[in-house]
Amino acid sequence: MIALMFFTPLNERIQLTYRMLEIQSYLKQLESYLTRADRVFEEEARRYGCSEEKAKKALKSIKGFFLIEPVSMDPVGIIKRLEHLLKTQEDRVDDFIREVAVNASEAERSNMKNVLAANLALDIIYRVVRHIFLLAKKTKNYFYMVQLYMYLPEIMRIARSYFRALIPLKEGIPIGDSLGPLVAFKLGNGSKWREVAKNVIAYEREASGRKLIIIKAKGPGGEVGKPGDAVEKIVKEHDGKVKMIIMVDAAVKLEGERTGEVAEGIGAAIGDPGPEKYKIETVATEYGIPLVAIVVKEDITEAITAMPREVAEAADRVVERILDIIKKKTSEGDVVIIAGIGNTIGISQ
Amino acid sequence: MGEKGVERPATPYLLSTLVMVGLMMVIALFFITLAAKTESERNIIWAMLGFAAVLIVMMQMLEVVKARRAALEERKSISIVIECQECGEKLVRDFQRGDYVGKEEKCKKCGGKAMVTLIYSEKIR
Ligand SMILES: [Zn+2]
Repeated sequence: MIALMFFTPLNERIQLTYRMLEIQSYLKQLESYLTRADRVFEEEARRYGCSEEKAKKALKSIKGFFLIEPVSMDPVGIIKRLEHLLKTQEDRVDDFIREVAVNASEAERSNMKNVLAANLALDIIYRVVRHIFLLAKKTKNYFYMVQLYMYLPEIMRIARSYFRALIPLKEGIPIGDSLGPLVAFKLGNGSKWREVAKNVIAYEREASGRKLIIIKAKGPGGEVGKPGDAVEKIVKEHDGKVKMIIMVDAAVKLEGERTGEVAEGIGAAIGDPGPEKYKIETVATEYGIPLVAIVVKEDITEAITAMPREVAEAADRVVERILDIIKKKTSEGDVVIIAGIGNTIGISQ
Repeated sequence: MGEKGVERPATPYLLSTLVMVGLMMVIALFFITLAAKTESERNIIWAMLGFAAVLIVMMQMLEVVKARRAALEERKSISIVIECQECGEKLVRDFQRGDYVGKEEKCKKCGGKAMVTLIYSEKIR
């Protein structure tokens, strides 16, 4: 009997059934994340003066919202096209939130937008996992199932991160990704600021004789703004006479690295879909301005859930480091741009 | 298990345990009838078998409880730091909805202008 189990296809079938059961319970878990995410969204909508029925209907209508990436066979102007699509998508989501959260303030609407984004992410994860699971079941294909099974722990980790992001996002608690704006706040708070681009503000202050222009998204709602536009505009305002652009962002760490580790590098430290990074690189190249990147390491869960203490404390070290770099690599009278990249949720100016 | 962030589902564990215990019972029974000659020998084997089964079930139950606890999310507390700009007093309290970094508060000590300067989360042990 034992030989029969080990050396015949029966073994495979038993394994398949067993793994299927396991995947099914993961799938249940994903479903419950999604159900609870829906409930969070509906409760928030109710809080801001939307009827439960309307919220349910609206949420259902936006589920499965998608963006078709621009054609890349002819790459000319692809960034412009992508930017246009992203802007259209943003407008659509803005309209949607305004419709659902009637009485919300601007900041609260931004937070709602983030809650919706987490919800939609959970939705797509659930759909894809369910698709492969059902396909494997239907075709009795061992290899679909094995592939899914192998990736599931990672998928679950990501799904769980989104799930755990819901509460911080709805309540406006800074997340790990808010590190950039937090550094900008620490550097610029108390100085004069103005809005330089859509949802981006710029402080202006002096530090050891240098003029610092510090940009961040406009808070305390969950916004990332368009830092690319801001940097471009400021550089052009100064006729390109900017000595250095320093970008601060949170970066995904490798397993084993410590959360809150500060690292320095070269380039545009920004994880947007493309357009903002492109603008910054272009303007830096055009005027020959060095791009310095400072990142703080954290894992994906930490990046989208409430900011861990290690990351919050790293902000002070980053500020010191920036001032140090400025002192060493620029001279008095120079203009330096410092860009705090990331979601500014829970951080005002 | 230990891997943070990954919950193993509970059901298959229980299932596999039951299947394994059942299988062991069958095999053991087979050997018992072969090997045991006297009543007392048979009793000892039965006792050992029972003990092993109870042990395995208990271990698996523990595993399930652990997984459940992990699934209930490690509790995190959100704290905010309020700093007074006049007397330098630093105060840490729990986050409440509506707080944000840069929000102006009144200093509890001197009544002067204070500000929320930091919001962070910590695991509750
Ligand atoms: Zn005081």
